[in-house]
Amino acid sequence: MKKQSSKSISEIKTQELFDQLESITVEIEQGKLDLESGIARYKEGTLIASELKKRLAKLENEIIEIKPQIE
Amino acid sequence: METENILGVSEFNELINAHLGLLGEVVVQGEISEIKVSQNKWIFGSIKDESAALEIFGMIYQLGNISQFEAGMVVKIYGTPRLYEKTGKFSIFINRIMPVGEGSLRIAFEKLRDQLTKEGLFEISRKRPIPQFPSTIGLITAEDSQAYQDFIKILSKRMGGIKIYFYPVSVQGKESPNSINEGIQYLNNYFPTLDLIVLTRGGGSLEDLIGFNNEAVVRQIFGSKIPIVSAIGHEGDWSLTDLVADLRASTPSNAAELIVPDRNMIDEIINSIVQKSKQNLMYQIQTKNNQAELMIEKLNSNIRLLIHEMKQLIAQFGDLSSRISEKIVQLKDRGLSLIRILSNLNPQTILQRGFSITTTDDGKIIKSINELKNQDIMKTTLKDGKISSIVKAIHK
Repeated sequence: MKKQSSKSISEIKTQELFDQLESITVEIEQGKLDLESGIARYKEGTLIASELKKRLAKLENEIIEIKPQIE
Repeated sequence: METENILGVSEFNELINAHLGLLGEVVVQGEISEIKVSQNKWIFGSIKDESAALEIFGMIYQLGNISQFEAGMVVKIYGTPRLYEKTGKFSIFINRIMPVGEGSLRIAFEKLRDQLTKEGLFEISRKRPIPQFPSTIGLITAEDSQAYQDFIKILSKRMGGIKIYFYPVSVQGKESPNSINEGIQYLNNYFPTLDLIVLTRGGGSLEDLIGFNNEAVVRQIFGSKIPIVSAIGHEGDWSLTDLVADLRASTPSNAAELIVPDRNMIDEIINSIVQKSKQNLMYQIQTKNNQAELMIEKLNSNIRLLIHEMKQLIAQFGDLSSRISEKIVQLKDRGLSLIRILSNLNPQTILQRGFSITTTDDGKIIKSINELKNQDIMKTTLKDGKISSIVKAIHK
């Protein structure tokens, strides 16, 4: 079972969260976990899913225009 | 009388060169008559039009690879006119040389493409994956261009929360190769953690796209540490930056669609992933439940079987027990009859029935009259006592 790093879920990159969610699904699907571990992983998965949905709800992008110094 | 101003050849050539220098950089267009490289250092050749010819001269270190140029190609030469003082030959010193017209540009494009292909710059195997969820994107395109607007507009309809670092460049004309190069270099140097860079502009002629078919730009993209997405022109029209980039998009809008996922699609994927996990768990729970029920049923049937066997045993034991009881009764009857027989044989019983036992005085049972004689004392035992008597007569 993967250990969650010490950083909070909001600090983890979207890509990493999505990968974690997919790996939880695979673990559960393969049926290698006992039922208790499976349920615990499922709970982790729902937390990740809600964080991802929170991020999806963000609408705006930020544009930073770069004005390089002319040497 | 006026004094003649006589100049030495060297002085004259110097004077001419000084005058020519005042012209600064000029641009001359013509068809290449000849172009060759000497000792891998110098470029010699000439260009012409219908009625005139002009010698050209350049340095490889300054111009780089010129293999895409060949005789017959129309070119624009940015250079300074000069007179080679030693020989008095007039030529234009090339600062920059560019193909002109679709035909020449096409030949130059194809030659450069073939050369870079041979070098392996477009190999699929060296292309890096583009992150599925980029959070920081470098954008290199022209300010206020249609490409910029299309890209930003489509991006805003996809997943949000992305930081776009926009580096405005010139995407057309002779400044564009340098401008694009600087942009790629700048983002690599100052924003090395960007998830990717998008280099984009709308479609155009080969002349318009000169910056995107430029060898230096292609090599800059090849060397970029950050993955690059190239989105130039329209469908079917591939530039060299498209070929060298890690990912090619057909238009600026297509680039936005390819690099940032659609929020509704991701939402659906998340829902289906969670739902799938839930179904799997429910299935596992149901399977365990079924197994438990099967085990309980098996246990129940085992218990029922055990009870049945016990009942059978008890029934068998009952039979045995009644047979034993019968036997006991039989044995008891037999015992009683034996006791009765034995009892009948007991002398005491015989005496009880009225018989008596006669013995000599010393207690020997008299079975015959021959064992007695007159005056002998004999003893008779009856059921309730003994009699001593004397024999008076013996009758045979």
